Amino acid sequence: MTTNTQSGVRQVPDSRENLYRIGGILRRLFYSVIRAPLTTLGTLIFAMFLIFALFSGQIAPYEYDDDQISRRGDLQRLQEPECPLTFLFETDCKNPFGTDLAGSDVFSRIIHGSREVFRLAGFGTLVAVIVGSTVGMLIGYYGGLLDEVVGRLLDSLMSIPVLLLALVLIGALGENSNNILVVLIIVYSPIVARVVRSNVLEIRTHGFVEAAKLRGEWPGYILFREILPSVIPALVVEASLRFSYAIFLVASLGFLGLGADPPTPNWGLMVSEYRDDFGLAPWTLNYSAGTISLLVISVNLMSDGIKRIVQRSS
Amino acid sequence: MYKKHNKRLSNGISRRDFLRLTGFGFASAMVPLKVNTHLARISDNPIAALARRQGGNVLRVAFEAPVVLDPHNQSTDSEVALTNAVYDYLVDVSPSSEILPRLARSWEVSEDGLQYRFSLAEGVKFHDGSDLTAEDVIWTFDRLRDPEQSGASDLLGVIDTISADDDLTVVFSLSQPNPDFLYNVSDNRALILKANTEDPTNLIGTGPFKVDDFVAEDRAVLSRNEDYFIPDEPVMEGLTFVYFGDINASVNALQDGDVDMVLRMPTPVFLALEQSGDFTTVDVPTNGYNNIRLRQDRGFGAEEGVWEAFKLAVDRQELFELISFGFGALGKDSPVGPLYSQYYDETLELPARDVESARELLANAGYPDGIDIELYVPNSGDRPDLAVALRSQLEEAGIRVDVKVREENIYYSDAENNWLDADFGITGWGSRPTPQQFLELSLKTDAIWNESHYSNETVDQLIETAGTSLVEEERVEAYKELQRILLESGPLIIPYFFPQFGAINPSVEGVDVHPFPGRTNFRTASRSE
Repeated sequence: MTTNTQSGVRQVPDSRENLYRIGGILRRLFYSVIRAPLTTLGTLIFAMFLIFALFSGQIAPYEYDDDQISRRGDLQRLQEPECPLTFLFETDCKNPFGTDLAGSDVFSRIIHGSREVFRLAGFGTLVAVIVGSTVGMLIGYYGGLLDEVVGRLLDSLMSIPVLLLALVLIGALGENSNNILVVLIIVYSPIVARVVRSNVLEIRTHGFVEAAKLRGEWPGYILFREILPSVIPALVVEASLRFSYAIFLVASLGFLGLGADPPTPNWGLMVSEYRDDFGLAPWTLNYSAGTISLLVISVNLMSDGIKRIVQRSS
Repeated sequence: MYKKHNKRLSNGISRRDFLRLTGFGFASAMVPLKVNTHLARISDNPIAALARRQGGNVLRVAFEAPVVLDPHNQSTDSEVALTNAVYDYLVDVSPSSEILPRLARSWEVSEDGLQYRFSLAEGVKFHDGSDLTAEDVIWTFDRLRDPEQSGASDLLGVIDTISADDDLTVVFSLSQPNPDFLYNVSDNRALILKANTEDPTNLIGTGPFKVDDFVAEDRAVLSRNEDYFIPDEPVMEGLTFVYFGDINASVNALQDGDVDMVLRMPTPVFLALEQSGDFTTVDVPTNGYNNIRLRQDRGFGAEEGVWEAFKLAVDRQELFELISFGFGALGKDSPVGPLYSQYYDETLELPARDVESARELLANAGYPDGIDIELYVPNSGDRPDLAVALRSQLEEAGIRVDVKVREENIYYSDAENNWLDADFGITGWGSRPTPQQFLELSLKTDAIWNESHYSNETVDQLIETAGTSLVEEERVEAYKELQRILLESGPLIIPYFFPQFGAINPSVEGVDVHPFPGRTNFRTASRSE
């Protein structure tokens, strides 16, 4: 009983310390983001896409599959971009990025596509980070045979080029968008696990971990309450990096015609569909490919900023 | 230390930054100048720019890489184009489907239509120096007839015996009359090989060009056969096929002057080339089509009125204009198209689109809320675009389509929902010189490619009549009756016949693009100076 009260007494300042640590990181993060203009820009663009994804139904003027046939008279094929730069402020601008050969509004398709990107790349990355960090913490903390076996398994997965592994998995699982999620998780979890493991190897030698062990805390507590907060900065950096790669992977698979069937507004699929139309309607390809670049660049700028802040604070 | 030296100027930029900016400014000012003069030089005289890099007296044609080099088992354009240059056919088919002499300079048909006597050209030599004789023709057709050795055996099954009257006369005896027999003799695969050839991929024929170098996946370099039996042909000294994996790559090569000719491309790419005005562009009508078909033996297709609702809900004219941009010809749900002039019934009128009746038919069949169905489509050509447009049209009638695009080689494989298995699908059918081949392959009850699993005794009977009767009026009547039945209740929706596109460097003359691009005659091509 005495040990219990003892640990109960010490528990409070310990977790508060963690909270302070996270709060401090977040505060510093906020100020640093404000101070670094490129990071701010990246974050703002990212936020814009997030808003597009969340409210695509309200923002996009048309449905993703509205075309000349389903909207006779309203949509015309091969309409040139009307107001590419001021689309957010002009209400009477019908096709800001023009229309494609089917008469679909390119802007609407891109907006609806952002939801697809966040659903696949965003959710896939999130699950990969959760799975990867759990595995990484376990093998990093316990080490020994577990580390050897699971670690080598992860290494062998990582030795296969990402796109090739993704193609093989899609081939085995079948073509549909939910399997893209599975692929993202399988492909990116090992990478996250490796990063987390290397961090845990260092952190577990710290005094507060030793102390928790001596207090007799159960491993779950040590892993998630003592070690995890220290891993979070590295994890945030890794997650944002993974997210930008995941966008590319989803787009690449879509481009290769896997995981998305027309008229799904998958950006990669759109680039592949619009490739042949480039001579007639260059805007269709320019805006869809440009959008992928813009999101990836913004995520990279953002993660770059976060990385610098994390490095400075450690 | 570093910061101290890096003194800030009054406006807040450091000296280093200032230098960097000035350098960048100068550099960026130079770049557009350079690019502009370069562009101006090219756009002033695009033809001169192309001619500078053109390959002299050699014709360079872009194709996808050939895979099968055995002439008797090939199928793609690039394969046929290569072997058509290296070997000869007994008789040729012109772009407008006329039979032309090739190795056979003349032929006679017996009155009962059972005997064909071909007279071969004199003095024809194989590239290895040996003479062409009737024996080579007999050996070739025996190989073509053997299902173990050739994919063309079905077409030539009607042959009973082949014999030689003398060294230059070959006689084919048929077991039953076949009015299209000459077209079958000129099938893409029926190239004449030397008798007893051990390796049919050795590329030694009698043809207008000899192979100097063949690099798989890259190019085939051919030079003129100086002993070719047709005088003054070929005109050009050489023919090079350059192989590309992607149509955009071959169009880029055409624009850069690295090839002279691209003979297959999507409509939007063709329109862009046409608008640029830098090339001779040709669009050739063909008998090829995309058919939209629902299996008639199970599922929705077997239910009363459902397929009729599909047919009523589709606006063929709109698909023709939207997807094919009005190139080619409007279809009327039968493979007998306007190019088969005498067999085509031009008086037949497309029934008007009627979405309301389609909905009613579905409701009567027990689907007042419409139906959901998966549509399987290969990823080649304009088929995915056609599928999406069709989806929009059918949706108005309450038919909700889920488009499933499949890699072409998977769609045509044994995989689940392949082209012969899927309930609802779109399949591309390449151009053929006679309507009979389409009908026998895809609409007869026991046809090997009866993808709609259609069975209609009257139709079977009419196809039989059209394929065997020697009385032309009977054939015409049978084909017209078939068109009426197929439009009214047939298992196919054929919205249009697609065109064949070509873009050619304006310095090249004398090429008549064939509906099947691989059969294009390159012997008469020449280059103007």
